[in-house]
Amino acid sequence: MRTIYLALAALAVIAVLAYISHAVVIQTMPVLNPLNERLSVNVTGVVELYITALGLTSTGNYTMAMHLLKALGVTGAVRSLPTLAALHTHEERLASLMAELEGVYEDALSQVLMGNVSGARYLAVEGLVLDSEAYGELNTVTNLLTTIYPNATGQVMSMAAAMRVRLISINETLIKILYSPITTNMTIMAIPNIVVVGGSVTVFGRLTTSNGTAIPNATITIYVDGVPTGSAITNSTGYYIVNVTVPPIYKPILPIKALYNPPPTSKYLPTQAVTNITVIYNSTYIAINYTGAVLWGGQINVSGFISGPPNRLITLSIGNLNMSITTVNNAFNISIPTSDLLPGNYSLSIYVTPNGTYAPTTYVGALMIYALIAKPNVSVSNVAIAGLPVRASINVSPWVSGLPITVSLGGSAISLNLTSPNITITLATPLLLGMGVHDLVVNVGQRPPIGGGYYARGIFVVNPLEIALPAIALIMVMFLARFGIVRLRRSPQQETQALPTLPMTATITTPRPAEVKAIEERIIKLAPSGKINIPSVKEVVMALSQAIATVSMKTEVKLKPTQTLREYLTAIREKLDPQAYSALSELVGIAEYALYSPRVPTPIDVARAWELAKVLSQ
Amino acid sequence: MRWILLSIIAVVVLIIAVALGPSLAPFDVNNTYWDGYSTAASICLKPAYALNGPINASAVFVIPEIRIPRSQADLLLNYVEGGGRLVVINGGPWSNELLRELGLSSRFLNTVIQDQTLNYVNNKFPLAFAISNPAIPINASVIVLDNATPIMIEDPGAVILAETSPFSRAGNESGPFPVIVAIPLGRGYVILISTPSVFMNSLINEAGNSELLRDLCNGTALYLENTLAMNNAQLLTRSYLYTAYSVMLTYPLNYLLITLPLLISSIVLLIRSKK
Repeated sequence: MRTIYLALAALAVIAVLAYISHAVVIQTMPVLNPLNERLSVNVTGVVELYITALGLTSTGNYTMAMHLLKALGVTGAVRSLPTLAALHTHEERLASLMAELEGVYEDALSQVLMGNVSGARYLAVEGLVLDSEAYGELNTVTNLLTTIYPNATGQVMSMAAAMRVRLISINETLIKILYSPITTNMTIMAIPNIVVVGGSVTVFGRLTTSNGTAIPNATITIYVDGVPTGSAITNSTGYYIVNVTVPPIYKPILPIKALYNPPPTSKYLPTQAVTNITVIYNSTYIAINYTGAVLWGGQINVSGFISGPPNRLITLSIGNLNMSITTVNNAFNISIPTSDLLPGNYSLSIYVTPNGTYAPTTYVGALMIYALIAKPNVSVSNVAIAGLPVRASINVSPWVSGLPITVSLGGSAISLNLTSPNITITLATPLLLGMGVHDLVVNVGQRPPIGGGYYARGIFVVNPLEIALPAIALIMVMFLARFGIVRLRRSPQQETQALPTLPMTATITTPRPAEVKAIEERIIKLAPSGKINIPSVKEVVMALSQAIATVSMKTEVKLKPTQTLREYLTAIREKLDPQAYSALSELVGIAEYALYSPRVPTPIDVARAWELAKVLSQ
Repeated sequence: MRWILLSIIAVVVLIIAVALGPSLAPFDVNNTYWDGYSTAASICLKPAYALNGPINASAVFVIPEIRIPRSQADLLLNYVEGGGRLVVINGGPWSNELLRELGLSSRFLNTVIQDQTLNYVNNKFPLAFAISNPAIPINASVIVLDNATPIMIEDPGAVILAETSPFSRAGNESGPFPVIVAIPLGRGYVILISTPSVFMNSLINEAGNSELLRDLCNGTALYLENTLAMNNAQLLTRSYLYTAYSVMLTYPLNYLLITLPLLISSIVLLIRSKK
């Protein structure tokens, strides 16, 4: 029984903890269950991004395309719509095939230029397979995109056309590598090999087969630092010569490459030759002076000196702001407003465009736009009652007119723009706001030069409903008990008290419950087990135990484990007065009748037993 | 006497069973439901219920849903300044309070990021893209978010580890918004994550979320459970039990507890011999 009581007590502790924890409402970060959320996708937007990815693939930006496609694969639109899922699979494969094909193609060309024809042919076979697969994927992607989004058909077809041209070109070159039997060699020289930016250089050399036979009428393309700048045709002895102008590239050493890339029908393989020239140009000197830290809303003043021609074009960038200015007598001065920027750390980038022999230059400096932090000071009562309005006086310092603020408490909020630094607001509190500490939060928005501010103060919200609920429940239980719907159990002693009793004297001897219990167990041990579970028998035994415990206390004669009830009665006969002895004797008689006879004691017997026990305790 | 002892044991077992049973507290490592961190715990998060001294872990994850006591914040600050990695996941207003106590100016903003185009289920589940950086290597490329907020970067040297797409919006602002940021502090880093949803059971296995967790854990990381909101009786009970356990492990209480049976036996024998 005690186990149940203790377990119930533990459950009660947990219930109290649950109630307390429910009452203490803590503002936490809410998250939504993705498994219960309704799917809502922007199919047009996603398809447009697939077209963007195709554009990236068609321009050879495979890394970006793959990155974008990976993100698109996670979107709800692709996961839920089979058509988009198919488009995703094919476009991802197309980008992957194109990237792999370009790699194989470059490797095959390198092998050719290094004279490893067998290696190049092996790669060419691999490339041709990839080329064919990519071509098939391109057709599938084009069909899917034009079906899903007919409005973009023109754009998609144009991208597809560009990719087809590229695939055909790669295909032809690879076939040429596979079937062209003759490898080629080329030489190159550049005169002069030291030149000013924009100057002219004569490039010449000779194209032959690997055994030295001249190749006439071949087109040689000249690249300066990777930029095609001229071409020449070889003469009958294989020599070519061309004058090229050095483009405005401001590098001390520039590579000049001559490339022979024969047409697909040619029996020759491609080849190339490279030489370097030294370029002479003037460096540009730049000196900048600017405000490193500016209050938000103020202006950034930038001034400086640029060497070279007096009027040079410069471009300034801060965050997303870009502006251009031309120097006057090599100097410039500009004021940039910060109201279009947000407070934070920025880089001031200045780019000076090249001019003649003067090289471009850049300057990058750190810049900070700082804002003032508003400190809201709130005067509000520490206690609020759910359902009733809360009045708060707020002072914001520093402030500017029109500064937005939001005041919230337990889900109800007020937003307004300040017209003065001091305001008083009345905020309604929800009736069902849980009892406990809730934060009254004041959020100050941004407006130059104020960068925002935050204030939170705990207010103890008393919810009358939550307080009343346990009381109402208790009253209801009492009410039900009063009308007998629920019966509260009374102890046997309480039940006996209802019976008529003998007049009591002033002295009452009460034995300890432990002793009574021990005597009770001793009596029960001697009785037949079938009878002790009968409630009226139990009652009689309890009354007898109480009586024996009382008598033991008075006479100091205890019931021994080996004694019967009659032996005990004999043992105390001399120590009790006749009236008490008679009472105990009658009680023992009732107990023997209850324990050992086949009959069950009546309520009158039980009442008499308690009555006698009471007489003995007086 | 025997029954009382059995009853006390039964009550203690009952309380422990309740405390260690499946949890419903959001972001709790014992919560196996959609908003729990049980999968994250199986990957690399080791729950901790109190910090009692110098921290020895590759990283510490914290979701400040309640006020973190000054003493705990100081321990975290010492840990980061000594070269540790503290991952602060936005758990509400107290997250910014922790950043303030760490001496940082960057803040989690209140607006929710929505992305109509690049999202996982709907516009409240935006995707974020990892940015390669030298400070904290991230292998994940795409991350799924749920009810994320932008991070306002105000600290010098801060590095954006992930940001949302240019299609995302937060209030009247257009993206991209930083959602994972690393801020150097002393010899270590404080990493800010704008939503605790990234590592919850329903999203951890999506896109590169689990990869991101592994990257940030850098081994086995401590996950502070005592900073979660205690508005759940079970979590509260468990927290008390673990706090009691961790207190019992400290010297000299642990010594006393070990010697207690010996002491009691000696006293009982002494009393019996006197009788």
